[in-house]
Amino acid sequence: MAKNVLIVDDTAFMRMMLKKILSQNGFNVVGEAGNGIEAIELYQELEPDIVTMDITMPKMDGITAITKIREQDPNALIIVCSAMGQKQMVIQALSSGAKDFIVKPFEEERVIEALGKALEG
Amino acid sequence: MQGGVDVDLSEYQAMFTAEATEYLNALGDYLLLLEKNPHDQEVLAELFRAAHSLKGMSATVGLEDLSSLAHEMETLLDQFRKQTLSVSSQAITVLLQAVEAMENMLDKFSKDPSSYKPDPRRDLTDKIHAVIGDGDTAVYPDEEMPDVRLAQWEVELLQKTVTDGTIYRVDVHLVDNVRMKSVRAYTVHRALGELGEIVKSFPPVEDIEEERFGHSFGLVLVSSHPQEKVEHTLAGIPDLASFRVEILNFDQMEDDSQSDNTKDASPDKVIPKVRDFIRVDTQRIDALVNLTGELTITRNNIMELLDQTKDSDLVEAVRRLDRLTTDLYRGIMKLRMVPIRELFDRFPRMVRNFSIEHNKDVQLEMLGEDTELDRSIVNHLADPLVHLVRNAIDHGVESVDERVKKGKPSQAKVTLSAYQEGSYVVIEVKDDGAGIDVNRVREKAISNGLITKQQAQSLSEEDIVQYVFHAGLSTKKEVTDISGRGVGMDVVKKAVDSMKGSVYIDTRKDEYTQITIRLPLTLSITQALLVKEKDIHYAIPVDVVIENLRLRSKDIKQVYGQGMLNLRGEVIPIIPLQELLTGEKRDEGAVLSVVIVEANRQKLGLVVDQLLGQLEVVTKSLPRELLHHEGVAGATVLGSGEVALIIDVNNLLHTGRGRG
Repeated sequence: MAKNVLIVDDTAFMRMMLKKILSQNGFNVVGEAGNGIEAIELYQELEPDIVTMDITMPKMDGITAITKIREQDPNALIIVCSAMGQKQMVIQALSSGAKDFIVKPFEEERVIEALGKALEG
Repeated sequence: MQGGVDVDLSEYQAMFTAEATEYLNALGDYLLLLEKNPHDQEVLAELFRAAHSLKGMSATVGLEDLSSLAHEMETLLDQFRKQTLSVSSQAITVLLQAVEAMENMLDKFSKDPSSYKPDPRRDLTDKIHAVIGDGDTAVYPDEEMPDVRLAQWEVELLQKTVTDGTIYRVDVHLVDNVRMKSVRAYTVHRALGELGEIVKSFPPVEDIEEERFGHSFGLVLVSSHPQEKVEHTLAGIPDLASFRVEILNFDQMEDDSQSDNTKDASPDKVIPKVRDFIRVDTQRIDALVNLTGELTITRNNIMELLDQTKDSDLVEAVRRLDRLTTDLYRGIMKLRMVPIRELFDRFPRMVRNFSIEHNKDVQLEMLGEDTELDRSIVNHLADPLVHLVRNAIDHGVESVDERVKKGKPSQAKVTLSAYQEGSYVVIEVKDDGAGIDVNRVREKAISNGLITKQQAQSLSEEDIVQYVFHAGLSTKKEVTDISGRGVGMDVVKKAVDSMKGSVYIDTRKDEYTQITIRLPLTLSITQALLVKEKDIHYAIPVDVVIENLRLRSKDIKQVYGQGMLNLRGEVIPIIPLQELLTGEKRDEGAVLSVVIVEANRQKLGLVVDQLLGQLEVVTKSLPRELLHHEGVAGATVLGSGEVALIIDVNNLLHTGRGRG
């Protein structure tokens, strides 16, 4: 069965890119959020199998959102998305409970592997 | 994106160059050791690690040619390590050539990365392939692996502490296009850390955090989980091209450590130089030097004012300030100092290669490697010194046959030494070769029109031989063959001059040639004697000052219009400083202040109005209109805000001689 994904990113372009990659590989993108607050709301509403979470976003950043979502659902599967050079932030996100990470610019193969393995584990 | 990363690398450029240089030096040193101890696994491990690190780091900055050469090198070293190939002299030579090529690449790249043109050096890769032999060179060991080796104490610790559980060695190879590999390694550590305890990481965790590794890393894990569980965990992590989990047992490790012990006893054992240090941008240090210089001047200013006060507490406080300023100044100057070892390190290899190339048997002796010198000087000294050593081997040292015929030991000796002398560092390059034929230098100097026959007669042999540094002589190709020296000696002199140093040659036919370079410890701060002449302040570097005299004008004898002083049997020309600098004659009083200076073994007495005292001055670059003023090396700002000109005595003596 296709897995449900919630995409969180403040830029529409990145959401679109990610949606395209995921849809083409059999994922079911059920929702898109543009900041951390929206992400928390949509996570409760949609109960996705997995979330891709951008770090730098307005209103509430990804790291805070990861922490809040995991407080509500300790089993939440979240993959953090980051740009090059955000190493420390990624490590912070991972220690806040993110399962894994992917790096922009996205490469299809890497994205699919990361989500696939996170869902298997 | 292949072969580069998106981030701006320019700020890491200096760090990259410094680190890569260290690795290249290590490669060179360890290769020579390997030649002596072909089976030393520790040396092989160091070599492998250095080649591997270079490969990774140079690929990161887009230095593809260096990276691929390092890769080839690594392949060959791996064969040695696995003992599928034995170390040969030929192999060492090829590897040393590769190191030299890599040094050149790094050098070019670091000078101007943007216009760097990679040169894959197929010739060298072919040579390395030839050494590896018929084992198809297309088959590289899948990936490089940092050597996983536990120290004796670690083995003991594990034996004591691990009562249950298994010790796993885990090797991980990341996919080529992995992003944020340090974070990926972190996730591996995190996932395996949940299964037990990671007791060792290869490379160390700090290196992993700083991405100082290629595409592979390793670790030792103590866990009560079965091997399958460890493997399953790794399989769940993205970006891994492959991994290997292996159970370590103590017997194996003990074997390793025992063989380590036996090696400890062997001679030529390398004790790695472990020093804690941080890299600092030299510009930051320079800023501190300038500030300290200003502080020194302000201190001097206060000291001057102090003479007028009777407040003893104030005097005491200022004395303390004086001492502290001096200590601070010394401390900061030390920051800029590096041991000349950094420079000397390249010579054992270079001499080896070069003597093989030229069919000579040369032993290199190095003395005083710990002598410290200003970083900027060390950088500028490299080329001239390489040139001198090459010259010594190529033109100085005779062939073995010739040496035997002359009754000399068949192995020639080239000595490279450094020592400190006051605020100068002296570097000597000496060979016990054929020496220089002074007569031929004289003939050449005459025939090339540098001196007349008449002049030649009045010059001592010592003076004549210095002409090898003259552009009109040393650039003539034929001189090389005649005098046994020559090509590019003028370039050496120019380089040394630009560092405010001096170079001197001493030679005896069929016995030796010694070239002595004297360089100031630092270029920015000088101890100087402050004098006043015609309302202008001048600072004379104290290193050249022999003594200060008060003379009556009648003590000075006029010889052909030139004032001469007989000082304890030595006749010294006496010239008013002002006249020397500007050509203006001056009226002399009955009593004169004279500063006797010496440079290039010549003495000169400078007449000045007033001797003011000694101080430290920071050399500032001169305004353009004064830049080419003969006899002036720079300027400094005094505590009073007045400018003092710093006298370049070398240049002045030259001027003085011309006029005299």
